[in-house]
Amino acid sequence: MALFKNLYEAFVSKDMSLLEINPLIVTKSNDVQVLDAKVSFDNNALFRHPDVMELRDITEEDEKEVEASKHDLAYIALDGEIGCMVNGAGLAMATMDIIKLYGAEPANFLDVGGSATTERVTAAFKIITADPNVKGILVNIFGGIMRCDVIAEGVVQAAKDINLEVPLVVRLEGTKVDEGKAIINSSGLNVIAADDLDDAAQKIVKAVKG
Amino acid sequence: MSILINKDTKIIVQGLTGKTGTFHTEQALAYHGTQMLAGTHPKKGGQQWTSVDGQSLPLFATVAEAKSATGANASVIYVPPAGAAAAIEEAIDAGIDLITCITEGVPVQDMVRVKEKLDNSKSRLIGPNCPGLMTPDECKIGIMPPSIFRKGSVGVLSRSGTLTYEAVYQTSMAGLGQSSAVGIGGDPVKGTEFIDVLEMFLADDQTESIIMIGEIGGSAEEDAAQFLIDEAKKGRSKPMVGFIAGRTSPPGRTMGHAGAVISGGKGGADEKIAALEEAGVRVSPSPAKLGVTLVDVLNG
Repeated sequence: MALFKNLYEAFVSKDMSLLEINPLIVTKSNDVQVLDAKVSFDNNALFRHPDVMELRDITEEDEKEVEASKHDLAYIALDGEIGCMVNGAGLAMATMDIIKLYGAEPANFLDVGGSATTERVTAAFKIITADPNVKGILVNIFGGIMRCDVIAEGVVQAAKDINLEVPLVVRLEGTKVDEGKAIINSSGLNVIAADDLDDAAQKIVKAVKG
Repeated sequence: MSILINKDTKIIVQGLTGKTGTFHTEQALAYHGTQMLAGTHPKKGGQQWTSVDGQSLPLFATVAEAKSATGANASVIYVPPAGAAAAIEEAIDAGIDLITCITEGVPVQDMVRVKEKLDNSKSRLIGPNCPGLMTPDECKIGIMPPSIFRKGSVGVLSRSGTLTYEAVYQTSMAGLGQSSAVGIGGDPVKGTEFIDVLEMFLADDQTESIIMIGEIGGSAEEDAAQFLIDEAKKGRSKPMVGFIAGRTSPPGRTMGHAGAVISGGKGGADEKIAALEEAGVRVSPSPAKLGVTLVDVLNG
């Protein structure tokens, strides 16, 4: 019983989300011992566990995902050809889904979050284009907490910095949308503007697949 | 009618003095006179908060003081993750009826503690990690962009903020408008579930149809489907359109939202879609066709 109490205390005190013991053995002298365990931690609670943070081994992780985490971007690398930059996790998943629906594959999941700055958007863009499989980029922003003008400035800055060569479709809607569209339109960049999500998905798939 | 909030809702802001709290409180004040009455900050009680266009609100050190001075019955929380659970608990202790927590990144164990406290209180919590809620032309709590709303008949509820906006925008474009829109949030442990909001929309006269947006992870959509089947047997039902985000998401990866993960083979999109269709919900395969699909359902 002491073991279960200890496991519970460890689970709670370290903000674990998984503690899986395998194998658990009983020795000849009747001692119960844990021989191995798989443990995962609540990402949202890592700020209060610097000791756990020290155990992180970034060589075990995808290079682009490590770079993304430095900029507080939720990024997951996938196998497809269309890079996505979206605000909001739900819309980011839905954007991947609609790309697939129109016959192409998403190259990544990327949620720029609600408090993205121009710098963070620029970083996001660089991470997406670092993937050699990316043949086109879809930026899909529905601004609530996120302002379209901030996204637009980041996109323009990043596209200039990296000398973007693949087609770029931008769909902006929501908070400060008119300011955002004005920034994109006056940038001189070769951007394909989209009216809504359906239009955006069809345009990027067409640009990539022909 | 509407659900949860209307023009009489009196709101205080926890975490008003920060950049996010300030921006969205200005937007709320500008939205049909949403009654944002005061803010709280532990060290700035007695001071004033001033918006860019010169409106000011009093600041109080605690939620209890702000409530007794203003008669507020709702609060919205913009404090950082480490302090968010304590802010919710303070609002519960002060007897606030409706607490909305916008903050993303609250530790799960903090929410487990908060949830127990909520269950033993009269308060309702929306969120955390949510965009808040809106009743068009009456009241705005949270961060939803006001320009896309139009007063009308569709009840919108969603685990995702930006997909809430899609549903709102598309129902406005379709000429239907919204009764209320509620973002319940993307965390695994949260204050209000789909079922709670569905119950309110079914009971609300203004709400003639419902759009519900789920995503991978957990079983809230399956629970909602079972609830709809049970209510339909009692003769309560409204036309519904659904969408589930994450059909293309890889298993085992957390897709931005802490609750959006297919783990141990559970929480996948296909099971959720099947459960909702079984309950009579028309599930749109495209997130861009929520509005037109609902029009289609309404036209029979």
